[in-house]
Amino acid sequence: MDPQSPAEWMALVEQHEKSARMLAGDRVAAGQAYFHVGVAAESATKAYIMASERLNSWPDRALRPELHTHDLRKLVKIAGIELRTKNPLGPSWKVVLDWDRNQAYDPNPMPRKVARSMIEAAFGLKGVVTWIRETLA
Amino acid sequence: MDQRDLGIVRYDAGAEYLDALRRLKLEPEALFWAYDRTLEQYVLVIVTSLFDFAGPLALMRLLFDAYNAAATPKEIDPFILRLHSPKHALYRAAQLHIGNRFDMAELKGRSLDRATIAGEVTPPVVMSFRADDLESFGTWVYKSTPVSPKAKTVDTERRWRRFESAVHALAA
Repeated sequence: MDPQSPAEWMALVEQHEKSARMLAGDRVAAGQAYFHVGVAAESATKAYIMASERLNSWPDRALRPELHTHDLRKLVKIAGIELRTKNPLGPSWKVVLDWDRNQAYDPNPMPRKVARSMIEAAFGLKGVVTWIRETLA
Repeated sequence: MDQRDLGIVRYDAGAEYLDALRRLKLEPEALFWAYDRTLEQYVLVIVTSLFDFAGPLALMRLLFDAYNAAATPKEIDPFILRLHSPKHALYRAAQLHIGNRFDMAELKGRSLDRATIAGEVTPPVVMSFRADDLESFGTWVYKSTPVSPKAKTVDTERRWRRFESAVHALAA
């Protein structure tokens, strides 16, 4: 069952952020940290959509099929978030938007530097999830 | 839209982008256009070992800074860039299909098949390679060279510092 409110989506964000931070330092599992960052960013964007559209519950797939996607780029477009090159968050958005959940199935280990970079792009001072949290607060 | 119709303007902008990166002391392992079938748009793929060394965010910050300082072509918004490590499947596919070494800079005197790039001619067979949602064609590749097996971390670090200094100097 999908989360039904922005707060529930953000609770999911917190779970995936913790998972990502726990895994990012592990030489073997760092790639899975990348996966959790992506899911956290996806969940945060869905929370943002719910809040900005003042939705009382997460719409059923039959009503809003476009919301039932894991593609962050499509979700950001639906959210109406403008991406500008001069915005200090621009590089973070770009890195997070390039997240590909299929990478979770890549058996090759991911350098920890890359996983940590992804965490910073999402949860750092100029991170996109940080920005969504501040916007929703 | 014919996905193979990259267009000469976009192609030339990509070549200028490679020149700009070289002026900024960043020599990528590969640079080529690809078509993103999910987004239905063209993306400029940069493959560099600096991806794993510095992480994508640090690299992207410098590329945004370079763009905002007008040091890279205005036609190529950093949001259409796609950064990859040489360890990624797309680069392995490029190496497999383009060959072990390909660099436009070394093709002195060889005419570019501009008619194909401009979409005026569609050859019956075009060499292509793909990974996940990206597909590219041989004519869209500016460069694809192997990573030196002798490359040491200290060399990669030196390359990173040179690129970083060149971009920071733009703001000075």
